[in-house]
Amino acid sequence: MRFTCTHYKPAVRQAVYLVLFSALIGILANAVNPRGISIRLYAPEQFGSETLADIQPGQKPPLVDTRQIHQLLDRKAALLIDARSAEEFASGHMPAAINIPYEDLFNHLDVINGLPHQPWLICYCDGPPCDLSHLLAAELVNMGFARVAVYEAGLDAWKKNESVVVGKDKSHE
Amino acid sequence: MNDRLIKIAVYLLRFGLAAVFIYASVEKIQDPAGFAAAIDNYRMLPYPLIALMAAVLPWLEFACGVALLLGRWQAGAALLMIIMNGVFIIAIATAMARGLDISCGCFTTSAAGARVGAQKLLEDVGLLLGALFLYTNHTKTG
Repeated sequence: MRFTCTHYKPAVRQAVYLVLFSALIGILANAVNPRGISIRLYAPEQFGSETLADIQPGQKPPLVDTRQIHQLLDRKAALLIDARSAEEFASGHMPAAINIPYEDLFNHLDVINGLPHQPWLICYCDGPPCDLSHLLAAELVNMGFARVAVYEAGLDAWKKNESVVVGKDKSHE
Repeated sequence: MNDRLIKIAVYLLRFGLAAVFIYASVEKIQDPAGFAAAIDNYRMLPYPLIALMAAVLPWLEFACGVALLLGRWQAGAALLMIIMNGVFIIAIATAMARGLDISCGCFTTSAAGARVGAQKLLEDVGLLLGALFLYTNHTKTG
């Protein structure tokens, strides 16, 4: 390849023009776009990362919100795990969730051993006062699962936002 | 490769790369905030640079695509495409190395879009090689 001086100088000049043109148009268009981004030194409060990254043993599992759960479920990348007791699970749970009661963990080791490693394992219980989801998630991380997260808002928030809960009078998905 | 083949390859690459870059820019131009979230997912840049990049990069992709379509400033457009794809490759490779499970942000701002992975990496390598070929041979279109 011939990257001679005469070869790349016009290219660099053209590239600079294209960058300047794009910067001008881009910043102006962004300013009048209702879906534009605020260009300033500090991020607005509502701007936050939705990244889920693999975690290592000992690390704290990330928290996910209802919107993230929908995104994960849409691409079949999540398995919901109800950390409450079997009785509570039977009385109502999130659609397609499985039950691994934290307080009866050692009777469910065969279920845990059969859990897939690819999708995110989303642990939940009733809501913020309940810590079963955090405890179960921590155990799963210690058992070597790298994709574990906690839906801290839990079933209470799910009922409030989604109202779709599978109960004992309906078939479990 | 003889000149005739090179000429045909340059034509195909011009219009192919133009189509890909213009298509890739459209949704991002419409939704800079969504694109900013996609960039943020890579955890590589501080906020001001994310915002600036979200506002400018889609227009740069669009401008480069239009330049190739019109046959004007082809060398500059191809050079920028080489640089952009180089940056995309680094971003995707480092995201993969860090185990990030994120949407690529390549053609859509949706969080449910294609994930970063080997396929996206290969696509960008292909685009980079195409742009490199165009850059070194763009004068042969006559």
